[in-house]
Amino acid sequence: MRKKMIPWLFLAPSLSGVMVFMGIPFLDVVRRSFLNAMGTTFLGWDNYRAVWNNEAFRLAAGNTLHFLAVCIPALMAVSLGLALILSGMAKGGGGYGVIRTTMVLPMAVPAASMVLVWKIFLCPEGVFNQFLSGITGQRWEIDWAFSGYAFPMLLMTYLWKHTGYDMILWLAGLGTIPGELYEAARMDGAGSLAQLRYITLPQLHGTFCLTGILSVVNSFRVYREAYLLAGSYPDSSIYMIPHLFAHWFLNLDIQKMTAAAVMVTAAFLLPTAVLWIWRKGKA
Amino acid sequence: MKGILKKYGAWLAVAGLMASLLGGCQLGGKGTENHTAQASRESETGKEKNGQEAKEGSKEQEAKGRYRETLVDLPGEAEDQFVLQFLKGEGGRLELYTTEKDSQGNDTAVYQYVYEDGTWTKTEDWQGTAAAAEHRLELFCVEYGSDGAYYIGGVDKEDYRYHLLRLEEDGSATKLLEEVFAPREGSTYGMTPPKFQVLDDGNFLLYDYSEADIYDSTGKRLTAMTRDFSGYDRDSRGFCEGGEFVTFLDGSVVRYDRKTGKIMETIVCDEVKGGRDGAEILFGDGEGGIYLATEVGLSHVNRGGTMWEVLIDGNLNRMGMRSLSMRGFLEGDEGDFYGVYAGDLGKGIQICHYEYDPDMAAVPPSVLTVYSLEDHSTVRQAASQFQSEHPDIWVEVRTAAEDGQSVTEEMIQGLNTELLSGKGADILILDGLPAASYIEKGVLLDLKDIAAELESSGDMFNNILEGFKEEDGSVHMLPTRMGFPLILGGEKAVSAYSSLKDMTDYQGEKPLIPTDNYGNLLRLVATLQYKELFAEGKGMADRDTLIRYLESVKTLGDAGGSKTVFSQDEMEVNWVSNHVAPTGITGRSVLYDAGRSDSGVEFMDGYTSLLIPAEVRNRNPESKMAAAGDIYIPSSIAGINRSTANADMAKEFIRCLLSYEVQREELYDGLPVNKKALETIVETDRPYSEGVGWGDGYHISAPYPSLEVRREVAAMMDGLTVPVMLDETVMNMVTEGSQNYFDGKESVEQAAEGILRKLSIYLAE
Repeated sequence: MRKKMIPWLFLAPSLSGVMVFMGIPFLDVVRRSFLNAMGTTFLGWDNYRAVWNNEAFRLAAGNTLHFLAVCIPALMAVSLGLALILSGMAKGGGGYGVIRTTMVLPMAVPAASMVLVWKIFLCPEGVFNQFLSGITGQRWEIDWAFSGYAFPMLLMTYLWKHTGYDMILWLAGLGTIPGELYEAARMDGAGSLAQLRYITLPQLHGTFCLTGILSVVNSFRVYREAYLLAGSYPDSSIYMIPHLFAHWFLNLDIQKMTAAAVMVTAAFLLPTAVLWIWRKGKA
Repeated sequence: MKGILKKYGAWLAVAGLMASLLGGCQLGGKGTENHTAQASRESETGKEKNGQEAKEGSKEQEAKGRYRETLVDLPGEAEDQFVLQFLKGEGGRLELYTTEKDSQGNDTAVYQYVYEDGTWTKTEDWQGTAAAAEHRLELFCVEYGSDGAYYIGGVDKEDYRYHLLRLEEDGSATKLLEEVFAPREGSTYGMTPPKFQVLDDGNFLLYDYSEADIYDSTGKRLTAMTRDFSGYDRDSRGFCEGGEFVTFLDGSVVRYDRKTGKIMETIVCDEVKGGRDGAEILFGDGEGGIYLATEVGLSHVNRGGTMWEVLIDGNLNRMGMRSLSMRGFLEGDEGDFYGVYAGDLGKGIQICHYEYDPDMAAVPPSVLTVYSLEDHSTVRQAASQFQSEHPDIWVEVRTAAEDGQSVTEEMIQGLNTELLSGKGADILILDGLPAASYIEKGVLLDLKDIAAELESSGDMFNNILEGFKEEDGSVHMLPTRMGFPLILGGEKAVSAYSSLKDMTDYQGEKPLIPTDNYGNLLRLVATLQYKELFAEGKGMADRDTLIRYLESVKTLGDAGGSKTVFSQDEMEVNWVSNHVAPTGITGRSVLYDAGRSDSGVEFMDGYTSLLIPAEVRNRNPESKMAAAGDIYIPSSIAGINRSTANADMAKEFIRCLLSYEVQREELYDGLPVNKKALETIVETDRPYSEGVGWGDGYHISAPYPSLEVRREVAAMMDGLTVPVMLDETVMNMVTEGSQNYFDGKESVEQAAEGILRKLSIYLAE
């Protein structure tokens, strides 16, 4: 029993902080989600019904899920690919450090500065259009950030910024795989693909979970890029939940915000809880 | 037992830690509030006050002692004269010099009033009156010299040459320093100093506009001291005391050695200097210290000191009143002070006495907070008026965007956070805020009792009041100023403004609307056809309505050669700019006058806006001037925070905002909504004129409009019933989404689709 308590004691300070600064405020959010905007009248499930029927919320939630569904696999795949290439280079030496630093550099660039650069690329008179005009011989004047191409543009900026970080995580994971395993596999005649399939990927299982979780968490910050790139009412394809929350707060729609916050939290917690229970049961 | 303690010890430790954290937060919060209240007590300019907290705190530890402002009675005739000078004369008595002016603004007479035994008395046959008349002088300055003689200075009305006269005991006047004021070779005019001072050594200090020079009696210049330029006609930014001259240089107060002309000391005064450059008043305390009087208040710094002490807070009295300008400030004999103020025309003289009252609370014990996104002159005026009527109440006006800052979403979010926590200012000025949402959420107090009072008294325009009544009769906000579009043009053109279709179908010799950028045209048409585009049906969210609107704007714009963005050359040729006005109305009646369009629209937000359109109509007798239907644009819209602890006080402030005393002032932020105040403004003749000219030779010079025209425009206000409050988010979406259409890069359908995609999200939210 004593042994069981020790970890909790060490966790107590941070748990207290989380409870005070997140847990208790969130309980207040749950309370307010059943009240009117000024917190004076109990409304039951009215706020939840209003949010569920709100087209803007559905669009924002759909876009956020869409972004997660496309962005997380793309980010993980690209960063893993780069990590594998770099890992191979490391073995061979030359340029490893330079490329790794270059890849991580976008992380150090403030979002506001980064978006300014992207705007230079994406505006109607920007680099992209000039490049396309140059190679096609036709005049290109697409406003990439404000048109139907806004989603891939946002995805591109997101990948550019975050790939380096995930790549470092993958590299750390790759570094923990014992070289003897590859040596033994090669002795048994395994090629590169077989080594990847039967050694690298299974051994990266732990890193996969960590990278996945961090990528999901980071993906919620894409609002910053979307807002700076295309303003508070961007193309409908990149209209995210934070856009909606910002507008609701401007209009003092706190009752909708709290109900939506509870719904979004539930939407992420429920599958996690189910997965956790399922894994527990399996164990 | 030991086992139980061990078992639950860890959990108790966690619970204890959490409890202490929670408790600490709560205690800390209270401590902060008390500290804030206390700090505000200690600092006269403290800003973080909460009304109720301050009130409670004041009961416990109220600091005493403040200057009390009282109005000094003036002879009735003096109140309608113009302030010339306020000084200490013979025997240290207070003297006020005034002038009378003709309709052209020229002096016709100058008078001396002397303050003795608590009464102002006009000096009959004052010597200076005759001397000024004899030399045809438009007086700039009167001084009492150290030699016991009076001096007057001014320009000859005929040759505009300056003369400085000493009034001799035998009744004559001697001209002094004539060569100094003579025009220099090659120039038409000589020096015309707005102020002079006769020094104790018999020399003269002449204030030129960016310099102060000391001359001896022979006209030889002894010293030249640079100072900040001032074009202000009553320059009081300097004084000589002992061997020193104090003035402003580079925005700071500097002390010169008047013999060497070298700077001895520089004192930074940014926090007490105020914003009315040129109107500051500097005077000495006789011991080397300096007084600075501005709208911020009366401040003092000791010799060698760097910290200004605010003795009288201008926020609490007439010093900070927007409608008044400070024309003089002097120290009395018993540590008291006198200030002279004049209204916007230099008339309406008020003299205030500031006496230290040791029993008066150092800071008013009650605080009323007013929040606005941007500065509103009428609100500031009402705050000063309210405080002078209620010395125990401090009206704290909080402006989110100060010093030319732009309003940001973060500012509104900050206010919303306060409102959600049941705090926030007592009074909200709702311009730029989501007023409809505040009403829906119950943030604002129902003001129907005030509305009923206004309705029954007939003080406010009932048609304006009606526009703010909700379906159930409640009134949650009230406008305190307003403006309306004034159309000027041929009869056919003016009548074309009745609908969007008529505007588009207009066939005339020239375009109906003059050239402008499409941002302005979009807003202009949205303002003029507000009911059709916003108030009826689905409004802009209706695809057909949106397409019709965009097509109409394009038709109107194409007729005049409008563009989304003009180059510098195009701006000069077309008399336009790329600036976009909130209502899209940019004062275009001159283009009608110049024959470039069949009509022009002006924004009538004060009688100074009427000069050009009235003159344009004079020059085009066939033209018609009319309001644009029944629309008007309300401004400085006030509401009361429902969670205020000072509801009665807040209502009293709203009444003050709408009172005759506040509304009658021309503060250049809109027309009054008070009927009697409008009448006063209309009936007041002002010596204003305005001229507009363009590089191609066009020029118009407009005097202040006649009473008949002023009344004609005032009568239009009775028919205005529809308040126009353009939704900035919608207008921004439309403006951004239609650029490619106006530039010919996409079809109207494509533009409309793009706008509707965003608009539908906005409306769905």
